Amino acid sequence: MTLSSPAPWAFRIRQGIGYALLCLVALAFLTPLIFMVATSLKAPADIFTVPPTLVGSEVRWKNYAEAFTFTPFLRYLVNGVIVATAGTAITVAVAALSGYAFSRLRWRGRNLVFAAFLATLMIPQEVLVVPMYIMMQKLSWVNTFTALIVPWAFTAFGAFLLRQFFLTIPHELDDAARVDGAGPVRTFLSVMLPLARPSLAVLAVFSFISNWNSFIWPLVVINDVPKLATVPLGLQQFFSSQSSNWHLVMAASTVSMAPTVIILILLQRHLVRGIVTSGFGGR
Amino acid sequence: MRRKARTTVRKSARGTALLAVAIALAVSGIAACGGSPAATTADGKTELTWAMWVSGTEDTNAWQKVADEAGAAAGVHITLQGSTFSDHFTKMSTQLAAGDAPCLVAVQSLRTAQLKDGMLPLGDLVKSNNFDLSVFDKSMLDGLSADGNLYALPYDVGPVMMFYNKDMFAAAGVPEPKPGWTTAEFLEAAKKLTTGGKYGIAANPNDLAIESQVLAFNGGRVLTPAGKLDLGNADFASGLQWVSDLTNVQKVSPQFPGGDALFYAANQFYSSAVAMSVDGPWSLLDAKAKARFNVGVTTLPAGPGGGKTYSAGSGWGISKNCATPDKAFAALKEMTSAKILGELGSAGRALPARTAQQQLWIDHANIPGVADTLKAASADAVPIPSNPASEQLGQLFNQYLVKAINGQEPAASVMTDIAAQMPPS
Amino acid sequence: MALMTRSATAAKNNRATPAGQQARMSWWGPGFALPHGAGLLFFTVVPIVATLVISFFNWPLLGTPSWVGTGNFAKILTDPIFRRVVLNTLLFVVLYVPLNLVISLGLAAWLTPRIKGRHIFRVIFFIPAITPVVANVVVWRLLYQPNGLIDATLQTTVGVHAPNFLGDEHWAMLAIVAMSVWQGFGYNLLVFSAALDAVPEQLLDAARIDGAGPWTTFWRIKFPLISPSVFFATMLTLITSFQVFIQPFILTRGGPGDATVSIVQYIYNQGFALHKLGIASAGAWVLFVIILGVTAVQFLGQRRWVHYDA
Repeated sequence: MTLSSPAPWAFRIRQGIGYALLCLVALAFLTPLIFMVATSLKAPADIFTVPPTLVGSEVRWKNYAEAFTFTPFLRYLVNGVIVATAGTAITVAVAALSGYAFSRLRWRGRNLVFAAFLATLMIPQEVLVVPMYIMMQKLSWVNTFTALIVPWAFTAFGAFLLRQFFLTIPHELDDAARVDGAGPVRTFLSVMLPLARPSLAVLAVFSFISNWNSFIWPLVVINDVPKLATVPLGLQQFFSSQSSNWHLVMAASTVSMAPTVIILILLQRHLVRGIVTSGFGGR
Repeated sequence: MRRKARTTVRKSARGTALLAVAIALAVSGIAACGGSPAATTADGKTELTWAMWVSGTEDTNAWQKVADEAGAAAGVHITLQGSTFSDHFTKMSTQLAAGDAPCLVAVQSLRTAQLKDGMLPLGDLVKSNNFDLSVFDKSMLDGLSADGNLYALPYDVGPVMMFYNKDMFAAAGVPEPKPGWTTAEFLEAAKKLTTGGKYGIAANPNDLAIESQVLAFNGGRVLTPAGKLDLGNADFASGLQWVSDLTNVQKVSPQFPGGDALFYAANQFYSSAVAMSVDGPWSLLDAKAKARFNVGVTTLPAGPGGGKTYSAGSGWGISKNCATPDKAFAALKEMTSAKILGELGSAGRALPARTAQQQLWIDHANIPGVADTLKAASADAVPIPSNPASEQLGQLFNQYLVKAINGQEPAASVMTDIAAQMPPS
Repeated sequence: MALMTRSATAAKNNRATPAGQQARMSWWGPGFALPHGAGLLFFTVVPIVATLVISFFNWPLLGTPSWVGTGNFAKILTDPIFRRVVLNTLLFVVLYVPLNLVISLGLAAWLTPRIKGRHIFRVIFFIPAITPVVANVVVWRLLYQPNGLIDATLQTTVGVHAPNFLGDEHWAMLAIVAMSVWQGFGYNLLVFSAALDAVPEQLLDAARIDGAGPWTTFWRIKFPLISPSVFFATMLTLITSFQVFIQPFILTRGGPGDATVSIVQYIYNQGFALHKLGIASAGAWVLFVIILGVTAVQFLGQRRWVHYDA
């Protein structure tokens, strides 16, 4: 058995170059974002200069304060957090249950029902908006938080994601649990859920973002914009029939990214490695 | 295994708690922000909801003030339902389709024909109330009509004009344009202004802007005054070719970058990348606030056979599903009263559709030349007609005109492509 | 070697499961799936069925509907514009999906736990996915427009003019794909990263001891183990890319001409601009059939490359 390990310093250099390359790639990907922040600090007349510059004639920190007084943007951020959190909670809860059902439990018609679940993903939301609106009318949910949270929280996306993750868990763990006398519920709560932490975290992030950025549905179903609007709808408020306030839009957009970044950072802790190995002992 | 079970049960209990909180929030959502407003308020006044486009807190407050004043005068209670301007049309369409639209609806003259099926013709109410329509700008009354019926009372009006950068004109040694200037003069000025990386004018495929430019050039129209489509109009095609040639033949306008036309030309103008921009009085105060130069206004350059411009504006109408059209009309009368329109004019929020109150806006605007330009432009302004497919036409202009402007396809051929995707009439 | 032993043991265990236990379990499945299924049925299936019904009518947004049977479908399938938008969408899918998967898988594989600060890098690469759409419009147009960032950079470095990306029908779709990949790859990056993290350490150690380099380790060990996630990502990316709408709409409005109109934009135009809900719904169902077909092919093909049951 030969180990062809290069000299330590060569290894370090290779690692260093790899790291530098990674940083370069990251910077390239961040360029549009850098421009977004740069635009948020410009005066309106500097945004569309030809060619575009990073810094305008002045650095307008007050754009950020102005964004919050021009519209009740803080309210929109809070609304967004409420709606996205509640929606995510529902999505994760029902998807964990159904993902387990589609992967670890055997029952008649399982594959057919799963196919039906998947099929619901294939219709674009734009065409469902009008019938859904009429349904909200019938339920008297128009212009409420409920209408923002509930209708799309049952998306089949979660079931699909969790099913795939559950399918990678070795069957020995089910068998071990069964030998220990656990029924499906105990197995689910004690064995499957903890192991599925990474995928639950991923689903939570995706749901949160999807809820956070949802535009057409809140547009149609919310009438009282200053009180109930979420962030994308709120961002549109900076455009009027007479003008576009891009400097404020950019400032508000930069701020509106903060909650989702925070959620991502918090949930990253759950994307830990080697969880599945813990069930093996010394095999 | 058992120790692990205990910790995981604790964790899943936390998860259950989280779910319970979410459901509680959802339920409280139903309770807190209730569904449809009551038909009458506590003191017996009729409750009317008013759909209007608003932008920001200041704007909302201003329109709320209108709602309160008009409501008090008409003896009703008006609740403002503000949405964003760019999405107002989508939202209104959905609500009207569901029979759920508010009683009072804001509508742009360009889109009247599209929403008219959901709105109440006002002819009978005008007659029964002996309402005097002659105080309003005639082009707006025509603009807000379709099929011979008036669908909304106008509140603002504006002829399409040309904004220009006085400082750039002075620096290039070009005399400032007077109202009524010709396309020959315009071209000469634009050529002198296209220097040092700057251009004379920015292309603007927005439907209102392009149709006005062609109308001013040679009178070509894609919509007949009655509102029928005339996409094969030869004059329009040649006028469109002239406008497109400004970019790729005369080179006085930069290549159009594609995409949404709205605000593109204005933003180029504000950042002094171009010296002129086709726009209307509704943008004038924003221009004054954002530009770092002196803004001037003049009429659109008049070509041979042209010389007219379109006037556009907005008004408020009554939706068909309104339970109390009489009260709604009473509210409309107050909302478009001389008092309120005068207040809007003095605040610069709208150029009033009542001719007598327009001076208040002009005084507030305080831009030299605006009064003469408005007078000249309004004298030559015709209402822009609306067609049920106007939105689709605007959308197709956004998609296709870039090819003509950038010289990839002749204007006539672009119009044929557009016509292929529009309904027959 | 360890892998083979484990699957053999697993296979033995599965065969040991008696059929009787299957019967005992058969009500738990529906029970667990019920909350999700009930919600889906009420809130999604009902509107979906409604659109199916609408697709058989001439249903103006404001006005009375009238029955046309399959008339809407016939109109759509014979419309040359619809054929064009299907081709546009196919072009987008064919360009976008592989690019997205390659970049996200590549970056996920690069960001192994050995890299210091990988958490930060993961967040950085994910940020494009959370930038608001309206902000992206302006930034990417500033990048793409003539005399924009790309053009100006090219002129100063190489002295060449960049094409008018969004205004040129040959470049518009490519420009849109680039922006879409930039915005969308973060999701798959997260999925793949989570899946790669779940690969048992023992296997990787064993491979390293056996002398396997990073390339071999990835394709022989990591990839088969994460193949369910790759399958998921491919499926979902395919489904959502067929439904692309917002990116072309905000960047080019579907132009120049109809070079970048997607199927969903066609549907949106029919429904909200032309007020023809019947045709819009019919279009949505034609799209549904297309996606269903592609998905079915994927599902049938998964036996060949997707490894379940580690």
